[in-house]
Amino acid sequence: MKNERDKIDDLFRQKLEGYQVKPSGKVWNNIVSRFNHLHTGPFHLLSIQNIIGALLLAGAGVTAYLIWPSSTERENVTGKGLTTDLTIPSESLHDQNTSAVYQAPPSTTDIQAIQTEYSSAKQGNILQDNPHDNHQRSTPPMTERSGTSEKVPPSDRDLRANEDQLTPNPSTAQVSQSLRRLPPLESPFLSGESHVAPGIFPMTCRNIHQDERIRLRKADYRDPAQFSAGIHFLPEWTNYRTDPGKFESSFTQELLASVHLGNLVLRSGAGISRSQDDGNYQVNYSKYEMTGYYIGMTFEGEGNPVYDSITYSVDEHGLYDTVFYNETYRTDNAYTYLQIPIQVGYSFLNHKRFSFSVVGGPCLSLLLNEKKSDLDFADLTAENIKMEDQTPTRRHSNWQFLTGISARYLVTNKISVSLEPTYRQYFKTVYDASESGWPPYSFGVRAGISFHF
Amino acid sequence: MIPDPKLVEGCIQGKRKACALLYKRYAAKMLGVCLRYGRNLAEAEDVLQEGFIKVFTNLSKYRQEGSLEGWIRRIMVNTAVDHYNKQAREGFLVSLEEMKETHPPGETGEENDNLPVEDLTEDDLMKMVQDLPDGYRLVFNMYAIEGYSHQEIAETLNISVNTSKTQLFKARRTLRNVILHRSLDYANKR
Repeated sequence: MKNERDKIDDLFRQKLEGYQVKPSGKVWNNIVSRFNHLHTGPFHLLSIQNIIGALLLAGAGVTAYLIWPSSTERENVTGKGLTTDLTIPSESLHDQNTSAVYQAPPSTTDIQAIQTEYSSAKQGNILQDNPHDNHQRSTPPMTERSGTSEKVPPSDRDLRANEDQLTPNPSTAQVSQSLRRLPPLESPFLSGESHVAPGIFPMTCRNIHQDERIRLRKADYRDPAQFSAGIHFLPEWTNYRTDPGKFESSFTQELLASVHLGNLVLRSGAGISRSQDDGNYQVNYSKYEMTGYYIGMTFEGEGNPVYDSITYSVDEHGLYDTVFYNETYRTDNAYTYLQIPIQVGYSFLNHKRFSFSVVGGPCLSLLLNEKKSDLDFADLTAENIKMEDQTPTRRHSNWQFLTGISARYLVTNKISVSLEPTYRQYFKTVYDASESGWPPYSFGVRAGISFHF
Repeated sequence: MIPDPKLVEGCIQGKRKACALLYKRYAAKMLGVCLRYGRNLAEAEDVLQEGFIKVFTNLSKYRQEGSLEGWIRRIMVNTAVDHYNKQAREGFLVSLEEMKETHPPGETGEENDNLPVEDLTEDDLMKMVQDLPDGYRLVFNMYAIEGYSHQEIAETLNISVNTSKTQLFKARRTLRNVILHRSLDYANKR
């Protein structure tokens, strides 16, 4: 008996120890979603690639900030060539109202009018001229030390006394009111013209600190950056490589910011993308249905004992049996992604208000939400229905290379519209790592409107 | 093929691809294990899912002393046992201790005939195991296939050694009867 018991054990051990069955796709999907839900374990969003993406984005932002000139620099650049004999206190130069006036260089006539106005203001003791020349004004002269002919630098007291001589200074409002009449001119940066202001302006801003003047001169020779931001719409058609000829549509709304440095363009931002893809359901069911038919024949005879006539009747009879079905059904699923493009471009053609540039760079996609449709299987005659969702799980992050050729039209000096055919190449398949396949690609057209600051 | 230690390292570092590969490598084998402990495929897949979540959560505790497959298999068995205990607590199953011991350990009551097992396929045997009552199935799997001792089974299931032996006895007897009946049916059809 002992042997028989062992025989049963051995039989089952040998046959079942290596028994294998491939699990359905939903098991892995559930495992992944469980970890994602908990935000712990090996599937959390703080993966290396996401951290790198965030760092790249932060780096692009910092670079843009460093490249974009500060407001002080912009004021200095726009104030180039504006010289006058007037003494304007440094506080006034930093005043917002006064600075705003310097955004456009005035004409010679305007300057002459201002000079006249200020001369009359001087006579009215609104403004008091500096007794020293422009170099001596901010720095009192060297004085002779008593009893010797040695020159010594001015003391702090001298400096303070020198400052007192400037009073009464014109108020900011007075200066602003006088200068506000200057006609606004088109910004030289948008028009691409030379930054040299027309006319000769025999003025020196004597109160400007030496460092500021040095910075002003540097800024004169620097090509100023342009900053623009806008909203873009990008419809795309993606081939997920599951079906060679099938393209699924998606739509992205983006807020993009660009920095233009001459012909170079840096662009980044964020967008929300909604895409569609097929869901796959494997359905097994059985139906009791007609599988064929036979023709039955009956006859009736008349006559006795021998039939005089025979009448044959033919009837068709169905044959029924249980038929098993194994079919695949498709549903429509929707996915929402956060898109973060980081692109560099080069403007290769600028003609009047048109400009054309080629842009390209990486784009990070983070899966925010997925909406899966349930299969509506409504065959009332079906029995033993088993439905299995075999839709592959999607990655929660994906890198792509997004490129395009952008055509931009400057509607006004502040607003431009753009149209950009795009091509997006995914680095990996959008499906989970357990799935294999070629990475998808997509075509699209990005249209947008931007505001230039 | 990536060796197991490298896969484990990748999983611990949070590499999703490593986790997917590890799952792909062992999922089919482990579902085979879970199927023996479950009543059907759906229940087995539930156990498989819970088991792999435990595997990924506790991979850092795997000391790489034994085989990875053995370690994962043990987790699956423990998960199946937990699943059984949970269902027994909730009243869906009869607990092992509540089952009557009609045959004390040591008495077999078996006949000395030879079993006709030549025509039995793996699927047939799996079906027989799945059709066993829950307690029988649990003990039979642990003893006959996994190789646990009665003492280990008693500790794992929190039952007495005698209960374990009784359940095993009943499981064997049931399986033997099923095989014999099947054989008779097969002969009659001929």
